[in-house]
Amino acid sequence: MSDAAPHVSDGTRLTTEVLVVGSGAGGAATAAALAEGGREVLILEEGPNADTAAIPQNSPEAIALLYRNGGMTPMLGRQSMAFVEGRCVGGSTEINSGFWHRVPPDAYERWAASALVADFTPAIMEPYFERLERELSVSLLNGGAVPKSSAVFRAGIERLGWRYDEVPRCARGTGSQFAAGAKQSMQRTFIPRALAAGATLLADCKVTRLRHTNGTVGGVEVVQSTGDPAYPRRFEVAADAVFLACGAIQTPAVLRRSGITQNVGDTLCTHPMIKAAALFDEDMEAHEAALPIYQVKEFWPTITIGGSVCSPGFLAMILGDNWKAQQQAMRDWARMAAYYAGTRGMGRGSVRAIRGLADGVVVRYRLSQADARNLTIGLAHLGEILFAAGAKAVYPSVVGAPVLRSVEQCRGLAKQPIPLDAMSLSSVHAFSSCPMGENPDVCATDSFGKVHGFRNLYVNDASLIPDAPGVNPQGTTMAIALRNADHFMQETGRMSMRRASSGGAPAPAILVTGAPGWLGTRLVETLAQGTSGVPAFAASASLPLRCLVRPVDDVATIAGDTVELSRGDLTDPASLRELCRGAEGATLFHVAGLIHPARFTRDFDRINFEGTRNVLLAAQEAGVKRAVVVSSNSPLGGNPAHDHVFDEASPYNPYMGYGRSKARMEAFVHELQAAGKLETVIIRPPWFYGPHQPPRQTLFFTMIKDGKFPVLGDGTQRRSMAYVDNICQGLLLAASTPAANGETYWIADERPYPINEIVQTVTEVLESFGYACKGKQMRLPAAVGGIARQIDGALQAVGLYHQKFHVLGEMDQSIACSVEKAKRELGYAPRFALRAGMTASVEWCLANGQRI
Amino acid sequence: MAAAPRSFASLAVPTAGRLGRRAAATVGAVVDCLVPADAAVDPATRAAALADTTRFVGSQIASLPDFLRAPYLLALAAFELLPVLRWGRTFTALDGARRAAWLALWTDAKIGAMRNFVKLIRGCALLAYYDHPALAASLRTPTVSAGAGRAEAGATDTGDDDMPSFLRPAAGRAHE
Repeated sequence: MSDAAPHVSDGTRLTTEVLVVGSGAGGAATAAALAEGGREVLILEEGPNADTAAIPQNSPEAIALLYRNGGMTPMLGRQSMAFVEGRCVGGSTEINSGFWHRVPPDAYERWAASALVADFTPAIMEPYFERLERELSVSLLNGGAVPKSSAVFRAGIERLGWRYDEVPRCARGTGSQFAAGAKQSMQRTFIPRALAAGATLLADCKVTRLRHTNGTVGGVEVVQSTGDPAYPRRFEVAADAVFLACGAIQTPAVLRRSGITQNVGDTLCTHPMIKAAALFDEDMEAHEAALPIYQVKEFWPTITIGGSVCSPGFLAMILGDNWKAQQQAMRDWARMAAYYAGTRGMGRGSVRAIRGLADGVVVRYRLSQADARNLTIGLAHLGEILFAAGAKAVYPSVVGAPVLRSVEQCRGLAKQPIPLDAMSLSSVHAFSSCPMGENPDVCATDSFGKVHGFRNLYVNDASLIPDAPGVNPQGTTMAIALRNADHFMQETGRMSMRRASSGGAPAPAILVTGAPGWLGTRLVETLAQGTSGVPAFAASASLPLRCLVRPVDDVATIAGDTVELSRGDLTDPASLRELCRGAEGATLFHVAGLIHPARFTRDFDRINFEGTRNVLLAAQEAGVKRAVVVSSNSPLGGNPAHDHVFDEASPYNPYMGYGRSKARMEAFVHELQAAGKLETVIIRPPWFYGPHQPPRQTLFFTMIKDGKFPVLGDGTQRRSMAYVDNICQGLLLAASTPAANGETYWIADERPYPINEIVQTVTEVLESFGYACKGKQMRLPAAVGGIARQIDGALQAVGLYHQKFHVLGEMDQSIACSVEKAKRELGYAPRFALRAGMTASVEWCLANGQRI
Repeated sequence: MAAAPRSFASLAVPTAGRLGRRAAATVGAVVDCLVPADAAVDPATRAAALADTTRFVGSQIASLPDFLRAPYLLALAAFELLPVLRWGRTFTALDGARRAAWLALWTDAKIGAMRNFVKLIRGCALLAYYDHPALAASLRTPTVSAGAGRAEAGATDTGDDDMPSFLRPAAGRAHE
């Protein structure tokens, strides 16, 4: 555990490979697993870094310092409940009883059936539990002294002949399980391990919002408490991967505050609990050993009954529901003990963030009639046990309830549910607010915690548990966290990107942006394998190459012995300076760009124009010799006639937001080149095809196979297409031809293809692979393209982007170009034509699991 | 490692939510009204415990989520001021009997928000007072009366006839 309480200066931007938000059961386990696996890990914890072993458990000072909202987070509903959770380094593991349960056997099948959770079976999970139980010293009392309140409770259960268990706890030593510091909370276990493995911990840091675009989280906004609420520190953290482990309330709150709402915070589950105090003839020594150890299993999983904290203060709180009538009973507090009856809640709740309020989180939970009935029955059974144990009186935490004095009175309770508004309820377990699984109707994440629709955002806490397990969820949360951390390590490759980019790498000869993408990946592959066929790059396999990469999940596809990965983003100039560090005399291939934004057109300029400006300025500053910049056909729009072809002298006529952003980009490139500090070449490839294609291109194949590709008009409109290896050849020639400085080139296949020919060729290629294709395609009037263009234009005028309208709007146009200038000046000789290129594309799809 | 507060009395109350003087006085008066005088606890100890309890309740109110804290403070002001309409005085200016009557009115109110208002202060106050370190010695030598239970509780107990219908023994309504 770090003794320091590091603070971050206002406005700082920190970077890390993995950011773990939250340090409780899920967060600490995640951080330790990843740090020990060689990842660079930063842990942010909202609460203080207080030594919890030095603060009496359940005391007022613990409640004020370590509990969220002083232990008074309300779950609103027909009857509100107080929800209690930790808010400190170590989270709720610092304030709970340290009980340990494995996933109940029935839950595996239930969760597989309801949430479609994959790879979640006893055979997979039991080794995680075994490992955790060793590492957390999970144990029974083993002959240690049984607290008096627990001993009489056990005697009552045994007299009734009901089943019960001693609940194992994460605690060291026998007979001293209740000593301060014995509990193996996260402060004593996984957090020190994470720090020893190189992780950094920042306490008092609340993540207020995630910044994300196109399914990638680029960073998080953080507020660090300074003790004076008027002057908090605000900073940002950029990370390759972000794990949210803030608990079942705060994790969905952060996601929803960030605009991520799909199945987030809609299915909160909990274990509602009602308490009762019992008066005995003998001293209960309740204050000496407040932690209970037995649980009644006779009615599990519907109802669980056990002991509760019973200091004088907690006993007074139970009596407080009828304080006027029952306060005199406090004179006998030493002969009293407290117990609870809980139920596996059948209701559902929600978590909603209030805009503009950092701690504005509204939690609702609708108790079901079944919950009310089960709590009533549970209370009745609790009373039966206590009278069997020799209790003289039982004080239920029910407004208006009398003191119960006989077992018959207790049994009478069970005949009719106690009204919800009379019950004083509380809960210490919450889960299921971001359920994991493959069921798209209910799950917020995949089976391993990756948020649906995101490449580098994960949830790894009790939010993932698909429904109420009926037991303390700490063990389940930690086992799932370790399993998901293992999966993350496997999924994101063998090597830490951070570590790969540090320490003794030679100065790069080649820089590439956009490498995780379609063309960038193929370019890196071509260079790393030395297969370009361009004489100047014949030895490219031995050239040091540095790639700018954002998300971690595509790293494996661009790894190579000479490939160095530099983490960053086009919108982050500091990371681009790092990309270009030591790259004097190198060649930059700027391939990264944005074609289809997720929603807003403003992203076109942010990435295509501003991002290009950022990277070129960084390259110029570092002394990079030449930048080859990939543009598009869009700055020129569509051909004025189907038999027309663009050449490099054709005038600008940008098509929609994308075309405008690329036109601005080209203007800036010319401006920079004219200044004479950086050589530049602009390459304009039209429609790509070839290996590493994204799902949208595979969908193109599928549509043709199914006869659903929309052919607008007579299909004679022409499209230039560019097989990726042809583009790579053009890029490398542009980089190595001295006279290309300051020029622009169209790079495409030898000739444009009519749409009918493209469709027919793809059909024949697919059939050669055994696909049964419908011969006819969907034929639509050419006017459909015009209508789609109008809609696309209207949407883009208000800043919105819709990919289908945009693509359909281009389908009736010819977009054809001539490659004569590239052939003449660069020696460009495209090696692939349509049929060979499409054949290679389908082969790649089949080899890489893409379903056509 | 940040220093942890070693004694209950050193609890820090967040500045942002620290109660104003009038609100703190109202909370103090409610706390005083809730916690019965006990012969086993000397007046000076009780006064010190009540002061700390009031601070604790204040810190708990300050810890409420933003969207609940503001309405709660409004309710606290209403609780303080509304007795003027009935007795011509604010709550803190009332005598003990009238304070108890006003508190009972809110405790048993038909409006759930009023009951919940009292419940929050009551729960925090009882916890903090009875777990106060200064009271430990007094409380750990409690007066244990012979035949505890019904005998002591009898005066304030609720007999079966007064039970809410949902808690009456089953015999009389076995077929309901």
